[in-house]
Amino acid sequence: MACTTGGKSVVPEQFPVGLRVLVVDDDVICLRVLEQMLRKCMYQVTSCSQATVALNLLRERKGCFDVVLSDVHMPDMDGFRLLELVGLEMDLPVIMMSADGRTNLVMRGIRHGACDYLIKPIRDEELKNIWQHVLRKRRNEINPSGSIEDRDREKRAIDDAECASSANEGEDEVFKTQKKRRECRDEDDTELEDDPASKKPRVVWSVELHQQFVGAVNQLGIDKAVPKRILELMNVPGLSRENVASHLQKFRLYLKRLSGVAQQQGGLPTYCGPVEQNLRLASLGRFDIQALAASGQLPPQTLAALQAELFSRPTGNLILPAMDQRTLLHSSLQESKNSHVDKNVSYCQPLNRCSSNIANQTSQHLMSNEDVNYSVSSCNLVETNSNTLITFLQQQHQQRQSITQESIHSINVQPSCLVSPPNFQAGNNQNCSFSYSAMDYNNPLLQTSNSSGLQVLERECKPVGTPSESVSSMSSCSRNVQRVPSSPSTISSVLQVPNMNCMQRSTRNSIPSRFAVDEQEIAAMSSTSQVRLYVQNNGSKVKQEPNLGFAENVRMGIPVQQHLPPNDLMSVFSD
Amino acid sequence: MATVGQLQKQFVDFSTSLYREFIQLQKLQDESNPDFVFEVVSLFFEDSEKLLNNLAIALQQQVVDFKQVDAHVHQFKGSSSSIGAHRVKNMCVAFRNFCEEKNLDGCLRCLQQINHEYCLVKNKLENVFRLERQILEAGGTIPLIA
Repeated sequence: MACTTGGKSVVPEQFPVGLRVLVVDDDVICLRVLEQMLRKCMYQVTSCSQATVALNLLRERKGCFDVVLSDVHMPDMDGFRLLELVGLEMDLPVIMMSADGRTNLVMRGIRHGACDYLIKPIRDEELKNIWQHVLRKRRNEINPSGSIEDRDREKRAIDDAECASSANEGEDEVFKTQKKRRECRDEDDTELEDDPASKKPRVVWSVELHQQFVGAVNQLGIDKAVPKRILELMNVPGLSRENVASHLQKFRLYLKRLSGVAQQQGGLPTYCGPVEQNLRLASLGRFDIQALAASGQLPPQTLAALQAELFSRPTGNLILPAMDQRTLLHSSLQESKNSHVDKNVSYCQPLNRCSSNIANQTSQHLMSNEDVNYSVSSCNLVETNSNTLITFLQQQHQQRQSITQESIHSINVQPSCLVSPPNFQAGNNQNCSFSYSAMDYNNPLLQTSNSSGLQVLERECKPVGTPSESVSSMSSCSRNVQRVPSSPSTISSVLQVPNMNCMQRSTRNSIPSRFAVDEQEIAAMSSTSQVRLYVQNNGSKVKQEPNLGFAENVRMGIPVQQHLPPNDLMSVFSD
Repeated sequence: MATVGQLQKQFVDFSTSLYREFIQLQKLQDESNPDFVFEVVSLFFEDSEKLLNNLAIALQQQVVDFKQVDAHVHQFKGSSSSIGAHRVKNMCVAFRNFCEEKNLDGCLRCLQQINHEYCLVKNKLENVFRLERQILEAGGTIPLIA
């Protein structure tokens, strides 16, 4: 194994020189100053005064930037939204800046996935260190060879730098050690051959991969799931323990956040039975959507349209995989109402908001039913205090079997019995394949004003490594969305897709017929993609979640939309 | 006529009184960007005057849009802190508080004060540039401020 010298010897000292930074700030003075400061740090700077321009730049020149610095308050787009989009589409580290250093804002930034939050006026020392975020991100995502090697590498880099500076003593020896280390590194690091600043293949958590991951986790049990065993179960070549570990960490955070929110709601009854099943499904769904959304291959318009479509559609046709569904129903019927809060509940929760909004919407972005194929794989009911809120998490999986009509009907089990709060609108669900859609659209409590609106979880979804990958993994989704009319493009829109379907049924009465979906259509749809549905009936109280908390849920990838006017999906993000 | 030394001292005094940021700006200036400080400060003047104008107009409306006012002030805060105009920045903070409370009176008073502070800063900066020119004309070198 030849050790490439020459360029290699320069590498550790070079990075972070030449770091490609995109700085976005509507304030020209700040922009100019930052630009100059970054140049002084020997970075390659591109500056933009408009977020939309910056986004286009990032999209057009994918792989041309290492890190994004963005202001929070911008006229054309909220900095947090840009942050999410960048995280989703390009998965670049984003550093937020603002003259406003209030804790809640900083917290929001971090929640949205910012690597860092700098408070203006920014000192040049602060900018000197932004490369750490790039390196850290790469380390966490790309390294398949093992953490030990990574640590060694870093160590070498540090040592090299030290050696370089203390060049006087024992130079030859030091150099030899350096060289040797580099050689070792060359041998070991197949991925990180060049300087960390160069682009490397990332592990893409595609739909299938995540499915496998969650399957493994469920098999092991969420508490017992360790990366090593998950990796073994997944048996995916080229996947490292570290990839799994970091993914697991995110997954756990997600679950924690959701359950935390669920607990806020207080004593949510759930159906214990296929808990793990639900867990899996819910998590799968979310990640699927995330993966979907994250794939840069899906044009924003499509996603937006998808989202819009889903939101505009009345709830309805939820097709559950027969087995899951029946099992779930059965168990749910048998369970006492106040079993325990489990993660499933929390998954679904944010979708409550969705449902209410969807009902209120008259979106014009419709996809034909055939385009959106969803099937509900499981549902979880939790009662709300005075009203029934149904939240679901819909996801799309290519591998799911199509649901038969039979299973659809089988779902149609005494919805009103199961959900007995006064406002349950069971009557709405005449043909409803999924009769749990007891959404109380009229419930004003559901109309939380969530200024954070639809937020897309950017961390879970990695951009697709290669176009072909994404195409294959998203093919069914892409097919589905192709006929979507263009709409304001927001990545987040795709996340709302699942909700739409859920909504369809129960709002049958309230939504124009064109939104309605027949069972046959649902059955047909399910052949290309499926949606897992979690229906949750938050028992104790309809709670207006604080925006922050809500945003958290939403950040998990559960699309939620509040009062979204038909054509203005972007407004979801307005601050 | 002040000696070069005196000019230089004045220059240092003015510069340091403008806080760290301005000094930082001066440090950013180099051969590839020889007029960096001047450029940035000129931008600041332009921007600020526009902002102050907009603020005045916004506050004179029948129905004051405090959100808009707040946005302007926020921007002003950011830019003034970038060049080291701390007093202006502090006034902006107070201004934003009044905006949050939707206290029109408070806002108007703040606007007045900000205008005043801005004028002071502008003068100071213009002095710095003048001194620079004078020093160079007198054959001296611009002192580096640590």
